[in-house]
Amino acid sequence: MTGFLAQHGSEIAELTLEHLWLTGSAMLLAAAIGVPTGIWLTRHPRWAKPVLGVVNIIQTIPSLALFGFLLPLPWIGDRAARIAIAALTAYALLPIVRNTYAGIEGVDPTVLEVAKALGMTSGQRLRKVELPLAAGFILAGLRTATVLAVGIATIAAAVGAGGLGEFIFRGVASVDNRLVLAGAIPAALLAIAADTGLGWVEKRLKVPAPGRT
Amino acid sequence: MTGSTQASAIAFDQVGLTTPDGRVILDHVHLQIPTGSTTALLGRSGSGKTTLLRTVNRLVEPTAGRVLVDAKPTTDWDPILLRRSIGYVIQETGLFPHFDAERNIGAVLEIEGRPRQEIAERARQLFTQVGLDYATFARRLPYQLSGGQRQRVGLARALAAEPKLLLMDEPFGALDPLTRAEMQDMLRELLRRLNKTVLLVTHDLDEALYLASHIVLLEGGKVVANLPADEFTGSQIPAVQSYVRAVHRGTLQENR
Repeated sequence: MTGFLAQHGSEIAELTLEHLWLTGSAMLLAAAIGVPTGIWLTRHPRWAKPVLGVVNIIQTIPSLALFGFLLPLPWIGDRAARIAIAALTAYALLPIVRNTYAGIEGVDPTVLEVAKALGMTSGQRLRKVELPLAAGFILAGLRTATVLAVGIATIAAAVGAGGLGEFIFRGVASVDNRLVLAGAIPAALLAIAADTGLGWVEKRLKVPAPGRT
Repeated sequence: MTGSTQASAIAFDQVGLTTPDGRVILDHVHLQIPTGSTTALLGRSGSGKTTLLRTVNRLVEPTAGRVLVDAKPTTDWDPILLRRSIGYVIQETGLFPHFDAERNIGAVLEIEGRPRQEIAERARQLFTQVGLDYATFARRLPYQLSGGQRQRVGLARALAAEPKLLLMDEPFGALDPLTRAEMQDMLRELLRRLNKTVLLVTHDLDEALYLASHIVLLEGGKVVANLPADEFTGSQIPAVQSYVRAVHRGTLQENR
């Protein structure tokens, strides 16, 4: 066991970093697209159903197939990492868009009406009332999406994007469980760490701390 | 603009509201609210009193007639500026749950972009005016306050930008009788000193008599009486008499 770690330790570290980079960039992208989309839907509720329907469908595409679909696309298909990030972003969208939309929709209408009655502009209502009150919900969506992305990112190795999936695929091919675990255990730990960390932030946001921000 | 509306802080000019499915909520409401007066809009649930109140700051748009604030039709006002110049208090849930008491009180000043220092000073003044200790309550969130304290914060928030006009929608509706009486005393005292025009929605005759100089009785979206408060209970108008009788009956049963 120590021999195995000595032999593969630096590779584990390297692939873990790669894994982090893939999921991290995908999450940033997904948040940058998903949160504004969710907000936009609350302003144009007629689009909520179709848009949520589409992101929902994306999520039903088997991940291996989605990686395959992206392969022939210009620019994205040029590099394996781009394919992986695009696919992970697409998967992460659903929980983020859905929770942003539902979180803002769920804000007490009385509070919103008071915000309006006091003379807040719609931008102020969003920044000072809706987003802070929906923050816990939005973060819960980000957390779900992150855990999901950490798992799916292992499949990115199938298109040569690297990450901890490398070990898993290699282990399966050579019937070496130690290699499979060398990929699976760090991936699981990453997922748990992301879940715990974001869960902690979410909790802090949900019960608003006294005092000014 | 007619001369008669000019002396009024608010004028309702044949205001009507009919829902898309044909229900009449407000029916030719024609009223002048004199500057500096406290006018109670009295009526049972569904009489249209809250809706009428909400046409003033354009939370509701009438389908007929017009509402004038400072002799200017509300539709000619920028709705954001109109609302900022009018204080608004509602029952119970109106505070921002994620703002502490001080930030709630300063909310209107904050959205107007006033300097922090000014907001803080004004907030301290208001804490005193509504009878709350700054050091104890400034950092509390609404859920850490009692019903009466929340209402005090709500009132302070409405007063923060020194509006000439104050709209109050059943402000004490959710309070127990003792707290309510306390709040009414505080409000009466405050209004005596501040010289505001107040429009107060209530279904409580005693509250109307205690706080208001004028009482407007609404029924089915129509104004059925518009009287000085001291002439209200003695009025011969049948609708007024039956409202007063209904309240008296309750009092007699309680005393038995």
